[in-house]
This record gives sequence, C-alpha cells and structure tokens, in this order.
Amino acid sequence: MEILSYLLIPFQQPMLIVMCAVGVFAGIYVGAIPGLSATMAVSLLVSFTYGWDTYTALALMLGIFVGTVYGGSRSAILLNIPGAPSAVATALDGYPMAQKGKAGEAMGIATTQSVIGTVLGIIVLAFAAPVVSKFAVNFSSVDYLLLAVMGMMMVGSLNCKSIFRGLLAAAVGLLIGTVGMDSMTSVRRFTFGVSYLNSGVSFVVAMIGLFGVSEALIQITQMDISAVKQKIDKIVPSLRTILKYVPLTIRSSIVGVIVGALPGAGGDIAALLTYDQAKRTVKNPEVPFGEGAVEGLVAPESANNAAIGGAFIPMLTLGIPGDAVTAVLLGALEIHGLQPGPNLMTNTPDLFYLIVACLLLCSIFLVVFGLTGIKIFTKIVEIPKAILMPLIIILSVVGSFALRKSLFDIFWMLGFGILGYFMKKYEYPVAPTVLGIILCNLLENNYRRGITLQKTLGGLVGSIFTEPVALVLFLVIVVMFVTQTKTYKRWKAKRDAQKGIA
Amino acid sequence: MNNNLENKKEEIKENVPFSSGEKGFAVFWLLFGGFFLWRSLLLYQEHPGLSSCAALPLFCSGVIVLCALIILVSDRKAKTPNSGKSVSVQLKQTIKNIFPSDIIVTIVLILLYCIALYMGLGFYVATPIFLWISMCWFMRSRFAANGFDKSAFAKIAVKNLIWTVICILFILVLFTYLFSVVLP
Repeated sequence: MEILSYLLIPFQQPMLIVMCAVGVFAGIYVGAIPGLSATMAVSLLVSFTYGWDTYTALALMLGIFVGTVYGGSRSAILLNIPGAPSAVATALDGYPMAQKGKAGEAMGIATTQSVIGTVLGIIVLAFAAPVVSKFAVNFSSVDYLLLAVMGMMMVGSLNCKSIFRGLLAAAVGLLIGTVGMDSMTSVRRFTFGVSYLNSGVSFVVAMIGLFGVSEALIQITQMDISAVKQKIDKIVPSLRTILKYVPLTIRSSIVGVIVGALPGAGGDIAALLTYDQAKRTVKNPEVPFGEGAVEGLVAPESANNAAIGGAFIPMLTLGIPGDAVTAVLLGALEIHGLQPGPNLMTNTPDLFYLIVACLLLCSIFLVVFGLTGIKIFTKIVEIPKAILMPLIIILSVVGSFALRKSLFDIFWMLGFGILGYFMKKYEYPVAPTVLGIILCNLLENNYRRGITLQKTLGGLVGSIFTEPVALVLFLVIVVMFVTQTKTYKRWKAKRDAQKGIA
Repeated sequence: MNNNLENKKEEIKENVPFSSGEKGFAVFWLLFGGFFLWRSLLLYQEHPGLSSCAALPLFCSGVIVLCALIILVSDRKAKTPNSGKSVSVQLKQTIKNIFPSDIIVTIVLILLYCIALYMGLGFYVATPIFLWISMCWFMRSRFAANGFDKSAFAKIAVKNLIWTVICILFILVLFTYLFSVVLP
C-alpha cells in the first residue's frame, strides 16, 4: 500500500509529470545532435537545478537521461553519426535501412524497442533493487572499498587502448578528489595556500569541463564532417512488426539490464554486446547484418534503454554508479543532501519509488515524442556545429558559475576542459577521472575505517580472504585486470587461432 | 593525385595507431604523478600512518607514476607520425596536431571572455560578442577560402547576428525564467 502511494507521487505533484515530459523531449534532441551527450546535459543540469526542489530536479534529469539514450539512435539512423555512444551499434544497420528509403520504419522500430527495453529495465529495477539493498546492508568497509575500485576499473578498462590508461585516469580522479580539507582531520591537502581550494575541487565544475567543454573542443576539430540528409516517411510501425521481434527484444533487454547493473558499464557496452549476440544467434535474417537487418536495430536499441534501469540498481542500493550518467546523478543526489546506498530504501523509500514512477512516465512520453515531431527534429539536427559549439561553451560557463557564484570555477572548468580535450585526443578515458572524483570520499573513508579496524595493512588484505563478498569482488577485480592485459589478449588470440585451425 | 594522398593517409592511419604527441602525454603524466608523489611524501612525513590523510594521495600518485612508466615502456616502440624525425619537427607536428587554429582561437576567445566577465564587462555584453566572433571564425571557409569575399562575409555576419540574438534569447529564457540561475 505504501509502495503504491510512493509510486503515485508524480500524480499528486503534476509538475513532476511536466518535468518528465520536458526532459524526454529535450533529451531526444540533445541525444540526437552529435556533439551533445547525456552526461554533458545532466552535468549542466546538476548545476542549473541546484536551487530546485529535489524531486523536480530529479524528474527533469531522468527525462533527459531516457530521452538522450533514445535520441542518439535518430542521428545514427538518419546521419550515420551516432548522437550518443550507446547508438554506435544502431548505426550499423539503422543507416543502411535509411539509405534504402526505410528511415521512417527504422526510427519507428527504434522507438518501440527502446520503450519496451526501458520498461523491462524499470521492472527489474523495481524488484531487484530492494533485494540488493537488503544484501548490501551487510557490506563491510572492505566490501565498499573493493566495489569502488571495481567500478573505476570497469569504466577504465572498457573501450580503452590499455587498462593502464584507465587506471591512470581513475587515479588522477581520486587524487583530484583529495584536494582540499581532509574530512576527518581538517588537514589541508594540495591547496598550495589558495583559500579557494580549501573546500576542494567542485566535481560539478570538473564534470562540466571534462564532459562538456572537452567534447566541444573535440567537435571543433571535426567541423568538416557534414551530415547526409534523409527523407522520412511514416514511422509508426504495425503491431505485427513489433510483436515479431519481442523475443529478441526481451533477450537483449535482459542482457542490457545485467550489463547496466555492472558498476561502470552502461548502454554503450550493452548495445554492442547484444548486437554481436544477435548476429550470432539470429539464423537467416531477411536482410544480412550490416546491410539493414531489422534485428541489428532491435537488439542494441532495447539493450541500451534497458541498461538505464540496470544502471540505477548499484547507484541507488550501493552508492556506486552503474555508468557515467548515474555517476553524475549520484553527485546530484548528494548535492541535494541525499545519500544513495543500502539505507536509501529504509530512510527515503519515497525517493526510490519516485525514480521508478518517473522512469515509467518517461517511457510513456518516449512513445509520444519518439513517434512524432519528425519535421521539427530534422530542422534542429541540421543546426551547424559552428552555431552549436559556441552555445555549448556559454552553457558550460554559466553552469560552472551557477553553483558557487565564483568566477574561479569558470577558470577551473576551462582547465578541466583542456585536460579532457588532451585526454580524449590521446585516447585516455575521461569517465574514470570523473568517477574517481565522485567516489573519492566513499573510497577513502571506507579504507581508513577498514585500516583502523584491522590495525595493519596485512590485516586489511587478510580480511579480503576471510569475507566471502570481499573475496568475490577481489577475484572479479583480478580477473578484470588480467583479461585486459596485452599478454592475456595475445594468449587468447593465439588460442582462438589454434581453435580455428583445428 | 588527391586519391593517392587519401590512400597514403589511410595507410598511415592503419600502420600508425598513435598520434603525434601521444608518447609525450605519458611523460606529462609521469611528471604530474612525480610532483604529487613528492608532495604526498612531504605530507606523509607530517602525518604518518596508514590511516592518515596522506595515505590515499600517496597511493594515487604512486599509481599514476607506475602507470605512466608502464605506458611509456610498453609504447616506446610504437610508431607515430613523428617517428624518425628531428626533435624540432616532432614538436612542430605535435603542436599542429593538438593545437589546430580552431582550438587556439577557441581557447583564446574563451579566456578573453572569462577575463571580460572578471573585469565586469557584464554577461549580456561579453556573451553576444563571444558568440558572434566564434560563429564567424568557424564559418570563415564560406567567405575567406579564396581571399576575403566582402559580400559573402556580410551575409554570414548578418546570419550569425540573427543566430546570436536567438542564442541570447534562449539563454535568457532558460536561465532567467526556467532555471533562475545567477549569471556571471
């Protein structure tokens, strides 16, 4: 009964419904425009909505999140330029479909499968999160420490030239997170006599710089990539078409939720995995994969949206983000005085079910906005980068100033933007750095607690092998590390080659 | 001839997965990590102990140094477009790669914009100037590709003025009425 009352909160506060709608609508265009991303948009919103009521700010950010994940598919299908990383797999078959004059059909299928995937992800979130939360209440300091390490390693190891680049990026983030006054002893660390740094580096400023300005600078170096326009006809698919692909949608959504629930892995990984899986499991598609196969659209689109629900599971129950966007949302909740973690379900159960309800509302609005407004959409997506990028920079400047009304934050944001530009230019992942800044407090406090309890480093390490959860997490970290090294990859390639010969 | 150039570029891309300055970036991280390792050691001397405030910074800076060294060692034989060239040519090519004119101009414009805000010029004065100049710069190929074309520039200038007004109105509505954000 109580859960139902929490789920009905948006209907008691109509502004939340409005914010979900506005968020999804804006998110579709943000996601569709290459160069803009969910992390950029939500990073800016964290600052802009600082003075808002928590629920209203959250509803808007959730709408943007859901909208951008879907929106990326639109430019992937129409322009062969994925608007979001999670739409990379969508372009593989979506664009060939558009080239054959089936752009409308492709977008309709992408919309419906995205909605189904989102709903499935939300259902899993609603049922799995309370279970995980009860389990996580018994987590010790060592468990949290290892979980934070695992999250950063995961983000650092995927889509990266080498795991050491990811580890370096994560360590940089943690180091930046230590700047300022130590929370336990009030000792100033790395402030160099600058009083501005006493309160530390604002992670919102770092986020806007590393995700927003750096991406704008990268896009500025790619101004000459022009979009090929497509003609779009009817996009609402028939019920028969939707039902035909339901089994594949469900399979892909399950994978999407699981991948999304892994700390650090998100919709982009889920989409690529399920695309690959669909290629291997779908026998005799009507059109070959890579040439406009509908299955090549269904699998990644349902998976990347299902990953949204999955990403919230570790974020809400453990306080460890499931992907870059939930990392930003984690920061947003903390700014509003909320602490995601196992006690969230007991202390603020209304927040959890509000998120579930808002996500469900967002998926309804996704159907409405996803299947309409195509003419406006094509106009907005055609806005030249020369217009868009200066505007993004101005939004980033305002976003970084808005939080503490300090011009120094703008200079720091610019510094992070240039650092992020170099990192992206030289293929160092940026997400682990942001994750490191956000998770620094959690990691350090749990480490110091663990060391104080165990008395020695040996005792702390030893406790990993005596606690089952810690042991499992430790083994996962070791496996992750080993499987990402060049030695292992060479050995695996040799073994696969030998299998092929045999 | 253009086809040959394109083919060569593709060939270079395939054989050279590292870009100009990539190895140097690892050296930057080594120096960065080394500096903070030294500072962390000084902090540790003042506050020794595994549970002290210096423990995590010491660990992180150590990881940065170690990872930078591993990256430098593992990538030392990797080919870059700079391979086999003199130091001055390498430096020139690296700077050209990471600081093309668009990036330099953008960074300079952002800095001037920030300084203008700091000097009290006002958001609604500095912002349209920044927007209009940036847009004109990024669209310069339409009026300055083969010498300065006055009529093309006039067209672009007016178009960008309209876009600037639209952006300012958008910012006004967004920040003043929707988000109630204090502007710089």
